[in-house]
Amino acid sequence: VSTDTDIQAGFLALLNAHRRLLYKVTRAYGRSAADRDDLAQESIVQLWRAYPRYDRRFKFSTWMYRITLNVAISWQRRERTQMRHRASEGEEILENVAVLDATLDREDVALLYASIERFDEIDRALLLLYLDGHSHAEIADVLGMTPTNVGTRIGRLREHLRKAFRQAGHLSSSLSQGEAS
Amino acid sequence: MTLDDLQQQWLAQDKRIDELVQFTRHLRLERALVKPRRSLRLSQFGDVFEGLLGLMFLPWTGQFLFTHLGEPRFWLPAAALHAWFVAVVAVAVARFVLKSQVHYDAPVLQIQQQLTRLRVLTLRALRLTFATGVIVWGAPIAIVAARSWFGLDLYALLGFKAVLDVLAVSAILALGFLAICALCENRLQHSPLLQTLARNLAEYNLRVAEDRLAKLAELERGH
Repeated sequence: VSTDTDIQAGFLALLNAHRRLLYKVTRAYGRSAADRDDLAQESIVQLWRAYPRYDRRFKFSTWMYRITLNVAISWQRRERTQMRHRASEGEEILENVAVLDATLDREDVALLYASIERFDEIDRALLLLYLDGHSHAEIADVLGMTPTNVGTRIGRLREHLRKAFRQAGHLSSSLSQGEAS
Repeated sequence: MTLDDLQQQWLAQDKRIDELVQFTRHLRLERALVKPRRSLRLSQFGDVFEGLLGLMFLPWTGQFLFTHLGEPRFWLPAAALHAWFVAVVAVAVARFVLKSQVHYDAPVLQIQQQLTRLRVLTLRALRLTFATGVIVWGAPIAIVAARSWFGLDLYALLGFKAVLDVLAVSAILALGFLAICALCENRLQHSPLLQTLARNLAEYNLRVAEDRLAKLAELERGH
């Protein structure tokens, strides 16, 4: 029989094993370090709340993606429409995540996230899953779409990004030419 | 840069995340995990409170309706008040049930649709209960309360016209407030709280939520 301590230890071990996922989702949906702290805190609380229902026959990452993406999307919409509310409970626990931003937020990483921030919340989720190397079937499972629909949308995102990067490249080369002349 | 280049860069950050992110503060984390779990059980407290408040008034208005069945001048305001409390209780129950059905481990589109439906219900109910509330909490409640608690007939005391005037003023106030909210939906940037209130009452946020619901349904169908 598992004790509460065992359950918590198991949960924390899984959380640590999938920390990349939590970091990437909070980084993709939270604008500031404080936002990401709130978001990480809320995600962990929801993960913990749902943990008794977690079915071990399924991949933990799929389950965790569903929860963190649902929390992030809902959080972002709430932040957009309501007064900002800061969760004070347990903020200090996650200072690791916030402090990290300073270390990880090098220019290239910031650009990377800026590239995906141009998309709406659902496409952003789709892109996050795709960039993390998930199959169309896995992405469909997390998002609740058909795999065909996932493939179509990834094709559109690919095209959208290609155009955006081409325009950005064109703009920067025009600017550098302008500076040279 | 293409999507594939982006993916390579994306995966390259994994090692740095692994090196830097660790949930090492186990004791603090454990303590914090238990507390929110308890407090989350109270997150539906608002709906329960609203429902109970409505339920408290229902026997009073119901009893009044029953005893004044043959007197339309008392029966009508009591029926309006009773219907308003029934609506408040029904909305609180619906919200409570919908909230109970939200489990964040379900697919993203499913949960987002559930949450948006909940928002649509909340916003519609808010607008309706506010507009009708301004009216029923004026003349109708005064008529019922005066008769029920003090045995007074406000129609006889103030005159039928005065009662109608109060009703008309309440209706104008409700509509006027909704119109002001509609005018302010794109203003009040200095006060996010007031802007949210104006947008909630002016259908602005309801339109946004309904559009989102339609988009999510389209996404799910594969359009």
